Amino acid sequence: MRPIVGAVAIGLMLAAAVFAWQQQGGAQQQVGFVYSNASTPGGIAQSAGPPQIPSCSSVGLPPGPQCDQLIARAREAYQNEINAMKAQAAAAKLLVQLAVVQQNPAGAGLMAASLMASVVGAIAIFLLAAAHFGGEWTGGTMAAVLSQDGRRWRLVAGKFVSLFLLAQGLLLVTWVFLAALSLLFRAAYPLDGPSPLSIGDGFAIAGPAVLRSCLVTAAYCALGVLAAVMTRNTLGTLLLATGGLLAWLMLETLPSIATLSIGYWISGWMGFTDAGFSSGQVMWGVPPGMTPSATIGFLALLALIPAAGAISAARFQRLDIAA
Amino acid sequence: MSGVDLEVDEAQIVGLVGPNGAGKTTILKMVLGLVRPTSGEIFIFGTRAPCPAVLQAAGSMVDRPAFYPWLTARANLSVLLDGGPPGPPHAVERALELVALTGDADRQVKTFSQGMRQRLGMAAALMRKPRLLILDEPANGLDPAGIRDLRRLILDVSAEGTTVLLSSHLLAEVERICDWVAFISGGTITETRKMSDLRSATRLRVSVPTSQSAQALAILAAHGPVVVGDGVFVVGGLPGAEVARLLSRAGIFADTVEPERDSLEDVYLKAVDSAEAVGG
Repeated sequence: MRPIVGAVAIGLMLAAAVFAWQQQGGAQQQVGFVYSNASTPGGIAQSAGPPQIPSCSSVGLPPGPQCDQLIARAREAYQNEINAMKAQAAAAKLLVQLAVVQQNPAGAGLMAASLMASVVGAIAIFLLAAAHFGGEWTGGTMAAVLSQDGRRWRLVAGKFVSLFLLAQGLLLVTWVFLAALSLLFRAAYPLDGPSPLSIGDGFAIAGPAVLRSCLVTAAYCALGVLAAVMTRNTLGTLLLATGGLLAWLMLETLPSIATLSIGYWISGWMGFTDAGFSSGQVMWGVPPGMTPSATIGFLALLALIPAAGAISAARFQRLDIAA
Repeated sequence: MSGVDLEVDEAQIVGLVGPNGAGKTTILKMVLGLVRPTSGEIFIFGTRAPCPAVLQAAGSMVDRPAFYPWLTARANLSVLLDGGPPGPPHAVERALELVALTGDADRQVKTFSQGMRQRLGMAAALMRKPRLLILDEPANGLDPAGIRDLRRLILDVSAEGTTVLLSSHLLAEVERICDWVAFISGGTITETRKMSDLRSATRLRVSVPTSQSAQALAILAAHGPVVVGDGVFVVGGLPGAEVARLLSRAGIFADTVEPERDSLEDVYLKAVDSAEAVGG
């Protein structure tokens, strides 16, 4: 096993521990609010108090369009305040739900899958791609490897498959680590209110997320392989893959083409939302005002993998293997 | 590269020699399919290369031998073996034994000296019992004993029917083991020589008393004697006994009549000088 694999696994486990720990701390602060009357629609209305809608006489305006406009603005501001409080309550509820899932050894797979589908997982896979494929050029082993079997497409496919298997291994290791932590979290951050999940419930929640993350990690592997073929060295692979991914994410800031962003696709496919805390949401911005489509995400990611693979194979086929 | 025209018979050892940057490694890489020629064709055992099936019959060591430093010698060979079609039984063990690395098989390659890496590179090249062995500067980093062992190894595999194509700066080694030598200069094969012809192309170095030097030169004038010292000259195209007979008839008794031939280095340097002269 390459030494970098162990280092990446440790890095992922540390990142997972930090996110899970933050989640637990936040959930414990919010659990009282979530399981109180204050988070219900009635409680929110009560907290906001009666709407402070001024009258025309109270602001010294004669009845008419100008006064009507002022009153409409005041109503809108009140409604916005109510909506913000509702969103805050929903986010707090989601945070507590995720914390409950995280306190279940099987449910901890949700965090592991989200992490692998996030930018953190992407960078972990790009690091592996850099060492595993880009390193064949840097270390000078490419000529020896290709001399064993000249079918270059086979090497590209082999690198992709081995990277994908490594990524799933990392997910599994992170899941096991978080599962062990879940027992500590349950003792350290007891959540009064929500019922703990059964192991079956935990698998039912984590399982689909883990399966969905496979498609995302496969896309990362394909991008990592492509970056390796384009740059033909370790550092170049990491920089091109990470830089390219971040640049691609930037498309989200342009509403007209936000649906072309890989962040949109992954958010849609993984079900990352803007309404709560998840490791995925921390790392992926959901395009403002958009609800990413799972179908578009699935189809786009599914198309990305063979496209990147075909470009990699075609480029690699024409390359001269220098010293 | 241009004008690279080389035909190698099976079970022959062919050496590519030429100055740095002449294109020796590039030719070997083209044969292995690592570098794509823009024009021209390469056939290996009658099949147009690059062809995976043909490549599987070739063992190679090009550039400096590179391995995964954190793996042991045995694991490195296993990884390479797994990267292609199945090799012969006990391929790794046999290859390690051939290069005398069995005792170090379980050491990480990062602890290996340059010479040991070179030997491991040879093991990787020989692992599949190749029909064609391609070696780029195989003696790099080897000590004299290692070079001797390498020479024996190459001669042994050649005797078993393996065709060997190698490049080397060690002209004395090329001269000792190769059947053919090809000179490369500026990306072109300028000359191909059969080593047996080179070895048999001898001249005579004749040494006579200084006082009889002029007379001896006159007697042998028809054979183009070249004076190389006082009373010492070189003649070609005559057997030694004939030289002795001609001189003795005139009462000249040669001190020595010794065969002399060009070394590969002489031929190589002449070829390089000639190529440079043509190139301007």
